[in-house]
Amino acid sequence: MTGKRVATFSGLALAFLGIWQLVAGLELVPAFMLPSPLTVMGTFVDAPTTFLKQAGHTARIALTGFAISVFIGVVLAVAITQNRYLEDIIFTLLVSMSSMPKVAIAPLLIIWLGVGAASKIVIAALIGVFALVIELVHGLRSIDQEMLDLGRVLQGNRWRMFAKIRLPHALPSLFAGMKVSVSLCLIGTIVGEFVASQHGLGHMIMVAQGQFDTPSIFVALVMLAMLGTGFFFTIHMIERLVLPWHVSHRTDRHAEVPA
Amino acid sequence: MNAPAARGLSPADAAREPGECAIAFEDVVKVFRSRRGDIRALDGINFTVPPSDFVSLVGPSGCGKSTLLRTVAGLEFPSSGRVLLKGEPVRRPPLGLGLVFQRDVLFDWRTVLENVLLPFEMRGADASAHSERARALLTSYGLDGFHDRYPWELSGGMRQRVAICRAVIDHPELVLMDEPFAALDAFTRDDLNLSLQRLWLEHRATAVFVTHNIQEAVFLGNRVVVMGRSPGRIVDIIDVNIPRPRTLAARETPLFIEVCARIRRTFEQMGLMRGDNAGEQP
Repeated sequence: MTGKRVATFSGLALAFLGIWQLVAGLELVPAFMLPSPLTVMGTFVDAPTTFLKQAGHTARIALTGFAISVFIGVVLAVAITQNRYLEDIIFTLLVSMSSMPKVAIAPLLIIWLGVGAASKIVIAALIGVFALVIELVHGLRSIDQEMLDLGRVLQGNRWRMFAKIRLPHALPSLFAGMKVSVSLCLIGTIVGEFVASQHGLGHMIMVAQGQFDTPSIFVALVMLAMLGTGFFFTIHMIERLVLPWHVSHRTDRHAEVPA
Repeated sequence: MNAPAARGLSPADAAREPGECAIAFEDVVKVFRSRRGDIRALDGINFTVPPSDFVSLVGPSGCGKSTLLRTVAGLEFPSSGRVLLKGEPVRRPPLGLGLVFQRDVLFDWRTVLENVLLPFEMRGADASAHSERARALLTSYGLDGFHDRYPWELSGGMRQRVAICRAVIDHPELVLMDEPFAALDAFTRDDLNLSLQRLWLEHRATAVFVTHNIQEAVFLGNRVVVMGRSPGRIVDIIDVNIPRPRTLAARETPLFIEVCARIRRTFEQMGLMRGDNAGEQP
């Protein structure tokens, strides 16, 4: 199954690269508009450490922002589901904040926090937190009344009801939220780097744009795609390890089990 | 001796002191308020359950039998009247209560063994101290080799067995079951009825078993409380004097058939079941 998927993906990617190479090679468009895949690869191979260093910088910021958004997101989601009052306040604040485009806030954060990492981390966390809260609140809410009844009959106090029933029940939602959130954090980081920065793939793209250095832009884009995919699948793998029982991973093992 | 006798509020029942009974319902009324008006889910419920008795509650859907069970569990409270456990009104879920739902309500994130040990964890006790007994109980209940599986790997009947093990692991004095076998096929249901009887004969907890299946109610109960609906009320109480352990063949005895027929006629008279549909069971 997985092997087949990898084969399909590789085939498609190779076909895509082949057509791209062909179009670029025929010079249907000027080379500075569309460099060939080989040129792009050559650009990377010429200075791999430079690109990797910038990618590492962006990744560090995105992941720091992600960690903060997970921490704050979990705290907010739990607060929202525990208390009606907090729900009204926090939800209103979150919705009004998330409807504000982060690109518009970025300049302000850069004035406040400087052009260094701090401003980007905050932007990333701001973008990432909303999706996480929405997913986790949904997960914490969608619990079965009978599960809670059972917990009460078994004399569970408030803390054990949360730790042994509500939270584990909501873990799949937490992971779903984290998958969305991590991509958004990467976007937030790039937004911050575009506005003002000295490092990172976003900074690199801005510099390359000024110099009409299209191959470098393509290298940066490919690296961003790889980072995003890497983050997503890392969380996916952790989910499989932590939640082996979760529905979306169930393989059909019923056949082995006698009725 | 073997003739089914109506008890209702028989002198024997009324003479019993509330404190001697495991459960006593005193004029229990439950009204649910809704936008379209009040719904009388339970009306004038009066009966008692002595300790170590097995009582079946049978009735059509919507007769309030689940609600009645929930008032015993402290999950719902009467609008008027009282529900007493050993003479004390129920104000919260009581200690020493085992509960089984129609859906097994197993926790997907716990293995079978961990599910059975949940009662200890929920009240903050050391669960690992009881794992040997939990394993023995699971094995005796036909779940050998499945202790460390997850619920999704089990069939419906096995899942319900786990739910029953979870309900009885902590030696409850009182076990309440709300249509636990309703979603299972007939073979599995028969099998689980036999297992449940065996378990009850060993432990002798007070048991209340809710079902809409007449045969199941008669097979399991020492007494069958027959309920009607709109409003939910008791229409008949029948002693089932069939010796235990009962085998599946007991269902073919004249006494068993007579009790079932009497319950069916009661439903027919209330218009809850049509007599002309020969052989149809609710």
